[in-house]
Amino acid sequence: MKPEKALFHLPEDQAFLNPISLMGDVKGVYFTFRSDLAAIADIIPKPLEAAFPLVSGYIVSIDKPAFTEPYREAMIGVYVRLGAQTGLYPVSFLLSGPGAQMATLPGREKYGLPKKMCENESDIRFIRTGDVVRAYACRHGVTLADVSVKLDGSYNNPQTEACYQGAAAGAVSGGTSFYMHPLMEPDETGAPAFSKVNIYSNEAEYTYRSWEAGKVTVRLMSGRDDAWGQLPVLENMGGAYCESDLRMKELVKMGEADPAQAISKLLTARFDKKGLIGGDRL
Amino acid sequence: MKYEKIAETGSIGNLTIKNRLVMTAMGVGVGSPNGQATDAFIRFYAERAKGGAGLIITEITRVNNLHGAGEYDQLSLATDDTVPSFRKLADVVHEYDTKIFVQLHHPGRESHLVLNPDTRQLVSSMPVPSFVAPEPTRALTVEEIRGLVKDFGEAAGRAKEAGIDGVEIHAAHGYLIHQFLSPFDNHREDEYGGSAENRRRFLMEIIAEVQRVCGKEYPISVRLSSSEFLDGIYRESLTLKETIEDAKACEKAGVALLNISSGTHFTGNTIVEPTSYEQGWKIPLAAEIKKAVQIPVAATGVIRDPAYAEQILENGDVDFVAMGRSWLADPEWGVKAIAGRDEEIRKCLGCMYCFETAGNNLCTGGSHAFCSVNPYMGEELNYGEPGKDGEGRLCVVVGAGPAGLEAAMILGKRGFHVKVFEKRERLGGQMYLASLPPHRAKMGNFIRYAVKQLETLNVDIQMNTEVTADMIRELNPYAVFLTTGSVPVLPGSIPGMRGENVYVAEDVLTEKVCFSGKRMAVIGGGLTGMETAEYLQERGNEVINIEMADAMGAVGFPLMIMDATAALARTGVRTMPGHKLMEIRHDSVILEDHAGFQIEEPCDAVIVALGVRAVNHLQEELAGMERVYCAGDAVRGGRRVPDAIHEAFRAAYEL
Repeated sequence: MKPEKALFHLPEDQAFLNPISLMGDVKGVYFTFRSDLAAIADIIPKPLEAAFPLVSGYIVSIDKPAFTEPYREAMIGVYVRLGAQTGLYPVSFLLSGPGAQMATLPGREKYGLPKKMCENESDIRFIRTGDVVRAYACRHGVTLADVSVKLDGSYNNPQTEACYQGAAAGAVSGGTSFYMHPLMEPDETGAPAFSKVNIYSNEAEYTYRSWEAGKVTVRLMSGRDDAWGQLPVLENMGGAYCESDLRMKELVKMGEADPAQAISKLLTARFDKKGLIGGDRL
Repeated sequence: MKYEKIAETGSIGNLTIKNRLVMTAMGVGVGSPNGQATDAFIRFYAERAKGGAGLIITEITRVNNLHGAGEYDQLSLATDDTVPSFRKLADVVHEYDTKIFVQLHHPGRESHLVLNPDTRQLVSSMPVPSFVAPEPTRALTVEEIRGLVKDFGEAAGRAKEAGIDGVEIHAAHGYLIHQFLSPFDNHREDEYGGSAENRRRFLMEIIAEVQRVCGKEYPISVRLSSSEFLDGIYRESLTLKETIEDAKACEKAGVALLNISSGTHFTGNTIVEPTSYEQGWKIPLAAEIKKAVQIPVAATGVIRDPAYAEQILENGDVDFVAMGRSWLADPEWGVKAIAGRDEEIRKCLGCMYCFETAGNNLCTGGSHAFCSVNPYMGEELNYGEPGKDGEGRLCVVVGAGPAGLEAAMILGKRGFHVKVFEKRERLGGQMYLASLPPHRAKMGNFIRYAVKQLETLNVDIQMNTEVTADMIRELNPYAVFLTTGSVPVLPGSIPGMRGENVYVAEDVLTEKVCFSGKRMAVIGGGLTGMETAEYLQERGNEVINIEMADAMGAVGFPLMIMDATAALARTGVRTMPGHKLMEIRHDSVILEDHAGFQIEEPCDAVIVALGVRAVNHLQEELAGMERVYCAGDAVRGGRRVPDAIHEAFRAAYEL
């Protein structure tokens, strides 16, 4: 069979960026902790507003994504509200593995997701041994998240149930997320400027094969380029080891944020320090 | 006269107030479930009138019995039957030439269904439950709003009938009227929501109705929150700008006094502030409101010192100095201030014990709020001034922490000959240490007060003196008070605990050792650990605060814990709940998490704040001796300031 080769031009009816957003066979650790509301409010761009002083995240492998090779992903997000709607606002994603690039680029360009890639596949990893799981996210040699879970069937704090409603083996549940999509173009002087920030909401559908609740211990640290430690862990709330399929539905544009107000809170999760100020190598 | 402005008479409407001191409303739980002003309640206020308050504003007073209860033992003017008790209250307060207002109140959603058993849902401007204590909540109908307006008017009429000098409408702190004023809370689409004018309509209608019932000359005070302090977090909230417009509207409507506070339940620490808030921190907001109106403005703001009160009057920031907890700590705050006896004022620590104990009984009654430093508070009927019956008999007090200081003061006042022995070079024990972390200096207020009192009472204090049982026997005292306190726990079972890189919080806070630019591990996430971590972080160290329990500050009053954890977040301390200390090495600590994984955290030094254990070998050594009492941490390590002071007070009072 003749090997398939890429073309720099596509037939017009194939020129779109709309793969099936299915992350099949997602496995890994989910966690929630209580943080400081002011610290959370500090990182949220308006018009999003902090809803609860809680932070949730995950460290997983996506073994059967529909749009790329397998990859691994770590995420932390905070709960926000926009008008009457409440949802998760992902603050930072880190990706590694063979499919990381093609999960990062469409994620950033289509959804505006704050994604960065790690150097090594093993920068994001989890190890399950019996009823305990240990998960890490590292970047540029710095451990940013170190999460362990004791899978004893209950959360550290029973109130965590509210964050993971509907999560159970065999169940299908949904969740709302909000994304901010900064769009750049040159200003009148030719300098790059963020002219627009779109706000999207997105529904995700989780089909669970397993959900094993447990007690978590979360450590978050900051590196030079990734500020995960900015959200203090004040109480370990709970988490789980989970196996699921995740399908992201279509985006809904909810409005726009004022770039002048929002952009300072959007850049560092998308660009490293050198990419922003550049001058520190001179 | 040292403080002429404080002592000046003032006017509120047609009333003359004997000085510029206002005691603000505080729910202290000395009332009764049927809303009567009880004898204990009247005595509580009488002491403050006698002590120099120019105007007393009672605690929250119910106007509606269906869904308007905010406390189990609160006052009520929802019906006629309580009027005689209010008349008695007014008469007693008037004996001291003090004026009294009743604060009319509806909690809205900031209440509990158990307090309002005849309704199935709490009420608010919107069908949104409280963020703090969520319970089923519905929006009031327009008809119900109009009914409540009448309720406020009728309650004001009863107050006037009882001889009360005026009423205060509580439109602050996140209660019902505030739930209408606030753009954060109120998203109604009728004439009571939307524009600022519409959100203000409920309050304006209440003012008009009170005037209709009581006459336009009857003084009305309105309590307003200058800001909700939510503007850094939410797009819409009540800010100073809009409150100024509310204040102007109140003035235009004929209100006689504006009583300015701040906060909503969501930002509760800005209503009743923990120790860390500085004196006068929110007075500038009230001063801005005062600039916009001609009517008198009173304001609260952690006011503790007469000199500061005089200064804000002199500056023209306020017309009246409003204080709450200062009057709980010392009912004679006013007469002492006016007489220039500043050092004799027993000042509030901001420890929130009053708020905590009031909250404990909010829904059940059975007990009242207590003040850490004033054991008489709420007990005025049970404890009068102690009798002078000591007859010069010798009492020995061993240890000069809060318990020892309190015992010595009461014994001194009773005329005993008191000898205090303190083995250290300083007074105050653990309380002194609690006053050293950043922004906690108010915790030392009691020590400064006690030192002055003991000096006046000629109590003999021997510092740097560790007494033995033989020395005490040799003195042959009438009574002995063992208030020997506690020492830090250093679990010897943990390898490395005796290492040269290991210190206790006291070493750091007293600057026995100083660190800067170091990596520090503070073990223990209680208040001492968190405050020490904050202290070290502020001195340029990189601090991790390690706690075995799942939460930082797992034990303690939530508002104090919230204050401490917010400081950790603000200063950048890395918090590590859920980690047990396994070993201390020369350059790291080994920790174990819930799942049994061990990690190593590098650090240059370790500060251990794992609690304290009692020091009390003398009790056993003095066995058989008569009248030996023990109080405070000497009874059991890790007790609190009020435990120590109240226990010592009772023992010394009842000796």
